[in-house]
Amino acid sequence: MTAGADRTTTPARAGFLVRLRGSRLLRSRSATVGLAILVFWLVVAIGAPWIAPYDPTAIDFAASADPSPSAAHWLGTDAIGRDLLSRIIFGARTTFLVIPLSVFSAFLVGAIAGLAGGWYGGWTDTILARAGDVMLAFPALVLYIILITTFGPSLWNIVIAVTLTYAPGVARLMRGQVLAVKGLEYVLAARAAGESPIYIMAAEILPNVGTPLIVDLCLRTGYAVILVGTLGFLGLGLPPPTPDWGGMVVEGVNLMTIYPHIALLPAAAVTSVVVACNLLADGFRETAR
Amino acid sequence: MTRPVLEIAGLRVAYGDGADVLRGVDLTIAPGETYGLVGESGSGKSTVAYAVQRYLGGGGRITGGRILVDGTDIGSASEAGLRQLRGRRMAMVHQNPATALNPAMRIGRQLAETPRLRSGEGGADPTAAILDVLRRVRFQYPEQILRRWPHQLSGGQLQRVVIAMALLARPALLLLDEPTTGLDATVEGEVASLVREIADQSGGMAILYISHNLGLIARVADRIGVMYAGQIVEEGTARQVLKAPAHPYTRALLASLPGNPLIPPGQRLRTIPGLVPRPEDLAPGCAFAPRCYAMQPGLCDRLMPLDMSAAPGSGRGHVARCLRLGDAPQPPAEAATVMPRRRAGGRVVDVVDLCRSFTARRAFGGRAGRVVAADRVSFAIGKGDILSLVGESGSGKSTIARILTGLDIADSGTAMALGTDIAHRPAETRTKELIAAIRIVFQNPDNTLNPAHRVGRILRRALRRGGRAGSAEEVAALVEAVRLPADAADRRPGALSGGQKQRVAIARAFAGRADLIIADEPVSALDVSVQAAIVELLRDIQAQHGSAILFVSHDLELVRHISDRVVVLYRGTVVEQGSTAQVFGLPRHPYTEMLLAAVHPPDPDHVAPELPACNESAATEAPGLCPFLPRCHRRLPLCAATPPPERVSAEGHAIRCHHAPADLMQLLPTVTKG
Repeated sequence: MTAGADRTTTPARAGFLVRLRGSRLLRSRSATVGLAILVFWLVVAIGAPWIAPYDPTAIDFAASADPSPSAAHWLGTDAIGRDLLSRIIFGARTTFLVIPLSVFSAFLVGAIAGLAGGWYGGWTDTILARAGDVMLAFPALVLYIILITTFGPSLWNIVIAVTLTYAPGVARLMRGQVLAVKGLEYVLAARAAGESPIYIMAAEILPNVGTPLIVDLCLRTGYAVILVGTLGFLGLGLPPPTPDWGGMVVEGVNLMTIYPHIALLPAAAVTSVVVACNLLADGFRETAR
Repeated sequence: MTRPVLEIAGLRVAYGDGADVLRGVDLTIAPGETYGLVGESGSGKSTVAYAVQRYLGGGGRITGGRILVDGTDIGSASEAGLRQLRGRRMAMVHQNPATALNPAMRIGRQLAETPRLRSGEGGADPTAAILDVLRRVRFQYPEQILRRWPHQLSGGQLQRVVIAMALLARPALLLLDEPTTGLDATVEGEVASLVREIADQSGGMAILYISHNLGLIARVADRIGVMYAGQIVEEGTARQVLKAPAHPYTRALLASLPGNPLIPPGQRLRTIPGLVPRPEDLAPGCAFAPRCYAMQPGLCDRLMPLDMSAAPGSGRGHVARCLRLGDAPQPPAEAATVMPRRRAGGRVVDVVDLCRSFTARRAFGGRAGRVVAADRVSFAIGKGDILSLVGESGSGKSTIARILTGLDIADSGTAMALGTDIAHRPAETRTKELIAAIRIVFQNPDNTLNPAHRVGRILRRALRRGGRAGSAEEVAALVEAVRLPADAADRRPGALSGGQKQRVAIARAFAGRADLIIADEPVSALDVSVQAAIVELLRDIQAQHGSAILFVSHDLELVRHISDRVVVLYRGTVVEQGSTAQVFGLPRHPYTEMLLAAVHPPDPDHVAPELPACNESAATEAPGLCPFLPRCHRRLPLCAATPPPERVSAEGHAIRCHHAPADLMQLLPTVTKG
């Protein structure tokens, strides 16, 4: 009975970060690169007031004549002479505020709906699944336009828009995971021991459905960056003077043939975050099991 | 001597960067010979079969030795050359027939896809060849089978189709990897006797039959190789290996089987300590030394027995890989005897007329069919008793276990426990006292514990649910009671072996007061060498607590060994019940007779009784009639007219059959082959 003694790979009482598969995750190169990009943008977002050379809304009339990169404006300015580097730096703040909030909200709603539907089954499941189907069947862009033109562009309306679009998908994934685990003997054992449904869902099921959800979270975060960018591009983003990567792309599109950097640089920022999220998702997938 | 069909010399195989899982395997199979390769999980027996086809999958590679199939070197053959061999010179039958056949193709077309037939080598009329081979695998109406889809056939029929497909290749070498694992014992015996028949009529086909089941191997094999930790540790004719085993591992394994004639029912089973080592955990010396009763310190744990040596006093060809071959003793008898049990009288559970059926529903509310899992089932479990529920899959034994545990509810009937009817009370609505009194141990050790929780947490929670404090001392006491290492509490289930996980599950069940433990096939997923230890542990703790056990099992030898009372179920109906001696003795219900006929001890001289065949399609099922009617070999005209009566003898032995007990005293004459 002692041969099993050396089969544990992690120390018996590891810290939270280690338990988050941190050590194993960092062995994956794609995860390391993805994580590095995200940390970079997070630092930029937090330190924006100190890093940015200019006020992102200040207009340099002299530069607006030629927005190309120069010694004063490293990445150039936009069409009306606002420093592009500063706007991208402050744009990161917007992104790193809107995205986590909306994705978190979508996952909270979706995970609870999926857990409840998968566990209780029957009518609960049917109603939740049909509600999700209706939401998925509705063209997302039309939904945003209705929502935001009715209630006006604001941070919370964007959060609600993303939640409505993503929660049904998350719920479906969660429901499938719950169904796969629900009939396993350790869940039956908990039921036979008279545990409450809440305890079983939280303590027996949730810890075992995590990996696909984490992968999905990373991917959806990437998509949400694109989505929020699209909203900005359509003029449904945050109200104007706030620097917003999607909004910046649309402002630069008209000058695309003469000064492509005005649109391409914020687009590149969006792309880098999306790529980072995808790399991180790949990393989680590689290290799972 | 003719050239062997299969010749393996010094074969070593490794997966990825890991240690070798095969550590020098030598075996040869002559034309017309059936070689049985036995071993527990992880011994490398399936890897041998895959290596022979050079089909090791991702990361597997041959690191040494060579394999000759019909004179062709598998290691150096080209891919095209291998394709010529596979499906023509050699054919393989895998464990799970349900996934071996394409569900979207009729049986006839699938059989016609065999490479030999497709390339026109099958002669002018391939259909004739197919019908002929289907007759050989004992299909009475092969024309009907051709038009069937795989889902319309039972597991045993599917496996016969897969064997037919392999035979169509007219292989020189037929590989069978656990072909009957997962099938019911009655079907298992049928497939084994079919393999034996094919071997006898094949005219030179060599068969490699891989199994963990010594009884089956005894039934089919001419010669046997016993594998342990990537090596063959003993080889000889079936009679030599099974009747006069030379290696301590083979001896211990045979002695640990519940059917061992040296150990009368009720006595303690012989156990093998420890568990099968993983290739990377192997210490220097003999791989079996840490578990061996004959281990000699300074010898066995130092030197590796490299060569097979002739077993003393045995015939030619009987060899074993052991340093103490000359002087190894027989396995010692278990020192401890079975603990006396308190059978105080009175009942823990009294089940009366329990009914449960499931209706499969189609979309839009249509009803697809009804499955009866329990039909007026009645039995009682006395305090401190072990009552076994036996029957094939689909007999409803697990459903009854689930109803008593509160994971399902009955449609009607009662089950009285602690003064309340629990048949209609799901666990969610049971009192704490009731939940602590009736606990369950599940079958599958890999799913029985939550992989996210440490053993300590699992046991602490169980203790609290059982009305105790759940202190560290109580957890430690439980861990010790099931003889796990003290540090097991800090581990997660992933770091435990199957047997260890099952020990934790037993500890969890006994955390409360545990008046009744429901053990649903608790050892059937475990290795043979671990089974006996877990069964004895269950019995010891039961005796200490004075608990009763409802033991659900399909292993009749084990049931005979440990039970006080036995209930035989067929399709939800109790066809026979009584004390163990009554059920295993005479008179017996025709179904019990069929189940017992399928039991095959690891003895090549055992003659399996073949019951007279019955024409299954001649009888139809009807509600109310005997459910066993379609398969019954003792059918009477009366059976198709009225439901059978239940006759209870003065001693309490109940049989539900139209035959008078006196008729059932006579066993049907055994049909002997050859």
